[in-house]
Amino acid sequence: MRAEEVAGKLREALGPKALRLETPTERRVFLTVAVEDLEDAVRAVLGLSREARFMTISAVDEGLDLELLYHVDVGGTVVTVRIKVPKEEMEVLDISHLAPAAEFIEREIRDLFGLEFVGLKPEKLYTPEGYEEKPLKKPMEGALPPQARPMAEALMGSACSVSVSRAVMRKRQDLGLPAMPPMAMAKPEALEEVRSLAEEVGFTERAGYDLEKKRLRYR
Amino acid sequence: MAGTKEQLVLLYDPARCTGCRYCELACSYKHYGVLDFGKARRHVIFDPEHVLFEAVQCGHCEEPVCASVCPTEALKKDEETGWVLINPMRCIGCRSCVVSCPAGVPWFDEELKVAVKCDFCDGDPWCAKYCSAQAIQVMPREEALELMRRIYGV
Repeated sequence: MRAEEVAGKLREALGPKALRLETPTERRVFLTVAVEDLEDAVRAVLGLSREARFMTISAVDEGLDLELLYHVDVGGTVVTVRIKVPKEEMEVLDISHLAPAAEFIEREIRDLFGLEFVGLKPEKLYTPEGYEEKPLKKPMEGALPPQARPMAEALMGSACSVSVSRAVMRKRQDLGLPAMPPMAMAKPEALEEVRSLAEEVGFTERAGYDLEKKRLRYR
Repeated sequence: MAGTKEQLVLLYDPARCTGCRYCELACSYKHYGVLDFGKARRHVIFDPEHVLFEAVQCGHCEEPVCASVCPTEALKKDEETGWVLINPMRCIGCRSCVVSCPAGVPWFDEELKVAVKCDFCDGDPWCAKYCSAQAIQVMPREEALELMRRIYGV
């Protein structure tokens, strides 16, 4: 089965759950799904053909997220289901009930990265009992160096790299001026535009800025 | 975006090579700051049968096998420049690229624990820059292919 055919069938089976489908070569398919849709995606891939065979899972620590890549061989075409687990959660569903061979890999990933697989048996596979270190887990760090982090937060919070302090506001009022100078942060629509721009150019993702919590995901 | 034909590649002309291996030293110095043949990302070997030198270097293939076997997409071909590059932060050291490359270009760095290969020195390859015999040249892919056909008669 060729990549395009596989991608077409997956698009049909998963609909909007398939966030991204890529076919870089004629025998390779990358399917990106949300963490909660992993089971459906793996079931859809394994159901593509009777020859579908679970190969392995690769884990990549990206600093803020842990990327898991589930590789399945479908008649000579490798289909990779990709999910990104945020390090704040570090929990994902075990798929060994769909592919029993996944159990060993999941236990290895749990031992080496500290990712918890819900439903997986608790025995260790790789590291000795009593050893609680996670040797391949990287620190929770984003792309921004420490000195740039306060500025990035100020920029996203107020659309200015330097925010107006309460002391400055008081001083402005003493002088008979409005507390807030005419700048972007005074207008919610301008602030929203800055945020949407930051999202569009990929700043929020690369810098690891949480738009809901309005702060960086790391300190 | 530059077309495939205009993308720059390295051309090695064995007839001009003197076998000084200065390219290997330049490569290892550029990437590791040391003069070590073992750390070079390209190699020159001697072929006694034809009394010629031959180079093992990355051709930045149009359809790179190393990139297609990489399980984590750490190895990718830059569509703009045409260079096949490894992202060391994504490489998990599985060595799939090492065994799959038909030319044996990528190798596993035991110290860094990742695969490494020619990165075209960000557009200014030191091997070509320091080749006194000008056996290594940087040129567009189409021109290089034409010369290769002439050199190897294929």
